[in-house]
Amino acid sequence: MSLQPYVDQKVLVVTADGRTLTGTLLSCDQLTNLVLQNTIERVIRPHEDPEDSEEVPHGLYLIRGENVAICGLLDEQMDGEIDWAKVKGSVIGGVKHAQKPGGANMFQEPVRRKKLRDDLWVKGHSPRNTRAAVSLNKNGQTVQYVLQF
Amino acid sequence: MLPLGLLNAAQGHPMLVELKNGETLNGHLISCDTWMNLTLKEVVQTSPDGDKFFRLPEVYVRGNNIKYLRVPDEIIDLVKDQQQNQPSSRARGGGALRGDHGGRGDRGRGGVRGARGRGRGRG
Repeated sequence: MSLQPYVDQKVLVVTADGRTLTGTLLSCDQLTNLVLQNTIERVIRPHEDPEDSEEVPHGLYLIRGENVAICGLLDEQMDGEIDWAKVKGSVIGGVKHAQKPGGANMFQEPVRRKKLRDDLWVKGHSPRNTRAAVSLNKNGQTVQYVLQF
Repeated sequence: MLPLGLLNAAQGHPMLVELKNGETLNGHLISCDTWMNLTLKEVVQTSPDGDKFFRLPEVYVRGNNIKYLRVPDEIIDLVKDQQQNQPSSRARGGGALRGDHGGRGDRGRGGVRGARGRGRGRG
């Protein structure tokens, strides 16, 4: 498994910080360090942004492997037919999901609540932005919890 | 050509380095190693928001803090030239002839060269 078969072809790279880069893959190594030639960054703006999306040329790029999330072959024909300036889309987030300031920290919340959250997770509920009523049998008494994740 | 080969070839040239914290460093690459640790000179450091600038005579960057490097386009031609002028030992394929042992399995007992060695020793 390596990116060797993609060398000298056009690729699209999504980086760990959510940027989108296209260019010709000149070289790669075991750590997924990549060299891109004629690198173009695509800045896709959301619908509510009145400004057009952009393609910004950056030239020769060496991307550290740690910062690579996705590298895929580009269908040049299909890609060429798209006017990227007119494309709108939500911003791609980074690979790290930073804590909301003041939000519940999964790793600091009380064990019981974490356990409940894990149970919900198993039952297929999304652990984010979920309100759930849970009843537990505690020492013979039924206790209701309303949880907000 | 490996990505770190390009970095090696870029020594002495200007480049832009973006760090994981979003800071950028513009300067001339003095040296680099296999971990992508760098030393740059005559550096302009830009804060993550791009609103503050600092001039630093010399900077050492630990490789793990790097997000990407932007290097001048002509470096790619430079790498190709360098590799034509100094082919790697692997490309020449004559490791054993130049006196390195290569670590191959044909040394030692039962090997072709091993047998020859014993013969010479007795004679």
